[in-house]
Amino acid sequence: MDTLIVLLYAAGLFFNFSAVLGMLRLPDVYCRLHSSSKNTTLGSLLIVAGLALRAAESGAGPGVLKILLIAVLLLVVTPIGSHALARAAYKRGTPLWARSVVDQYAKAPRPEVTDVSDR
Amino acid sequence: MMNYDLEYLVTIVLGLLAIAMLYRLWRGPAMSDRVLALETIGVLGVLMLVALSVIYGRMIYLDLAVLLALFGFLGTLVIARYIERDLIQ
Repeated sequence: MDTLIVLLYAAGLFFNFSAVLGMLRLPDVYCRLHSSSKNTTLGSLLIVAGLALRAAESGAGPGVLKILLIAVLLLVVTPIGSHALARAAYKRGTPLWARSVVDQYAKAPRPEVTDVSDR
Repeated sequence: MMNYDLEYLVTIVLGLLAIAMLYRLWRGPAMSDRVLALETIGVLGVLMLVALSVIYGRMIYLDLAVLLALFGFLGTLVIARYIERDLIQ
């Protein structure tokens, strides 16, 4: 049990560290979003799973349920926020990296907005 | 009494990562960079709160972690909408 918890912590810290490293080193908003969203989601899930095991080991009953609720919340919340941020940055016109190869969103068909009340 | 040295170590490393994220918050070229740095710091803070609640055996930190995750998410959505087009047109 202890080795499993240590492995979960180590993997989670590794993924969080790679997320922060990518945030500091990558050249572009979109590259940074790519690094941050996925690595943060997986790393935080691993760490929360290890902490839930630890809490279950020390005999905290409802605390484990609440920690699992936090895990589900993080799993839902982080990708949605990153998606909204990427969309907003693209529509704002934040430039891509100069050496980017492909931009498929520029070629996507845009539906005409007819409902003015939506804006 | 259980030994919680590992959890202390995890908390300290997460705090160091959050401090490293302050660099991106300080000089992100775009506004999205800063918001993304804030979101990542929020997630790291949630993890630190959960670790502290396990260490000290206090349930109230878990409630704080839930609130921090939810309000960080809401703030990210609102600022993303503000970046996309202004809030009031």
